[in-house]
Amino acid sequence: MNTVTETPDLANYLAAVRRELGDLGADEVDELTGGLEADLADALDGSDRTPEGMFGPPEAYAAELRAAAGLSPRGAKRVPQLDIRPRIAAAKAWLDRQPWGPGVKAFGETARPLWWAFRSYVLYQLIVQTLSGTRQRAPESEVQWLLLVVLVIGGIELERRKWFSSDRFRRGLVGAADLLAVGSLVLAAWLFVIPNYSVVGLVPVGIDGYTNASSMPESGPVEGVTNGGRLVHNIFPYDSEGNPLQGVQLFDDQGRMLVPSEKTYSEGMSDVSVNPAKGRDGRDLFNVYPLKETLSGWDEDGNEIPATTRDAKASSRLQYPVGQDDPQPTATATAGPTPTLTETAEPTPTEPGDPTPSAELTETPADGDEG
Amino acid sequence: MDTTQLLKGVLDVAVLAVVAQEDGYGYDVVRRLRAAGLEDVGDASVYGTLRRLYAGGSLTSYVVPSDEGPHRKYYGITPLGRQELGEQRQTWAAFADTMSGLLAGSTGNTVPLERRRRTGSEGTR
Repeated sequence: MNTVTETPDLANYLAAVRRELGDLGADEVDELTGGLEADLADALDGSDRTPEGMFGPPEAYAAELRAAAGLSPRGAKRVPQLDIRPRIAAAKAWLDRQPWGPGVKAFGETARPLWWAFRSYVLYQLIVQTLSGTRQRAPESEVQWLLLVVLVIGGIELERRKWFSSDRFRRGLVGAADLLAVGSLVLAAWLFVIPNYSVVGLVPVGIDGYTNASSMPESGPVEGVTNGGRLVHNIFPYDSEGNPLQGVQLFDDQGRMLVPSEKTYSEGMSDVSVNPAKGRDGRDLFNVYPLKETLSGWDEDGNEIPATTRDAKASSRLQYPVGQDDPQPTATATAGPTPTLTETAEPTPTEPGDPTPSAELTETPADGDEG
Repeated sequence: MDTTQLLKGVLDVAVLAVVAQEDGYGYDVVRRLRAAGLEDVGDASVYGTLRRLYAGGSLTSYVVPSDEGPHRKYYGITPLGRQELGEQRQTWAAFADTMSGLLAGSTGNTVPLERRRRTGSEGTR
């Protein structure tokens, strides 16, 4: 027994073995070499052979170890991946121990084709949404129906017939589709579980996490002005005549600035951000409307456009002249039709209840029943 | 015949059988396998197999500290491991029967080619 002289040899040998396993994750190395020192020391116990003489070169020893452990040889290209197989196996073992385990397993087995079909549906959604950019749950054209049917049948047959002799390719394909489908399920569950999420109905069982850039975010109070649940980028004020106003400062009833709830948004391929006005004290004021916009990004042809600042343009001309709520309506009630009035009648102020011969004035509300 | 090649296919079930008898640490399992007649079994192959079976849920493991030296990692069998052992035992029995029958039937080397083929195909059923 010569433990004293053996130990450094053994430690060196083990270190060399560990080095050979260096391309594996630290957890895997620990897992592989945990307890190994005791095993090797036991094997060497009572022998005067060196570790190398007993077990062979450390490289070969490490190679044998990893091969037996089902790991790829050193130098083989390792795709960094989470190996979830042990966990799945452990979960299965746990399931087996439950009294209801076999029932659940049997149900799962029976329901598997359902999963295959769902997987294909997710793939279909991905393809259709990518190509058409539209979002709908069910196919809307014959071509889309055909695509869906082909994908579903293909997905089921892929499993049923174990297509593709190259097993790795098949497994990769199926694995990717599974991952995609699981991801979309998680996403869908997440979106549906969020309470008060008003656009749930719009969310397809789909891939993209966005619903609409201008819709409410999933949770939390929104900073700034919203309109019917939609984020507001800019505000266009008009005067009573319908003329656009500039530099209008808006505050709420408590004197807080009304600022846009979304200061940057996408418009096609480009990004638009609204610019604050500068206060006298140099502060950025986001409540001075309409805010100017800066456009950056790419145009439709994919060319990068230099950042340009422009006046914001109202999406359409929805503003109208308004009648004013004046306690003495007679003087101003005819503000709208004034031009015609000057042509047809004397612009003398009219007394209330005093009808003038002008036809236009029959529209004024005062004493309407006389005409 | 090179028994190391044969061992590769049955090392899992051999290790499961040894651990099913009694929990053991790495070198202990090696020793018991060798004592049982598998003298060619390689240390590292057994250790790797133990780790793999553990990762697959067939074995559990626990560490036993030692006063004299490094701690020992013991392995025990899980219900899943027992189930696998049972299945593999049956597979092995059927396979061994088949091979024994096949090899016993071919002791005379004057069997015509056609009959030999028939025996062979029957044997693998």
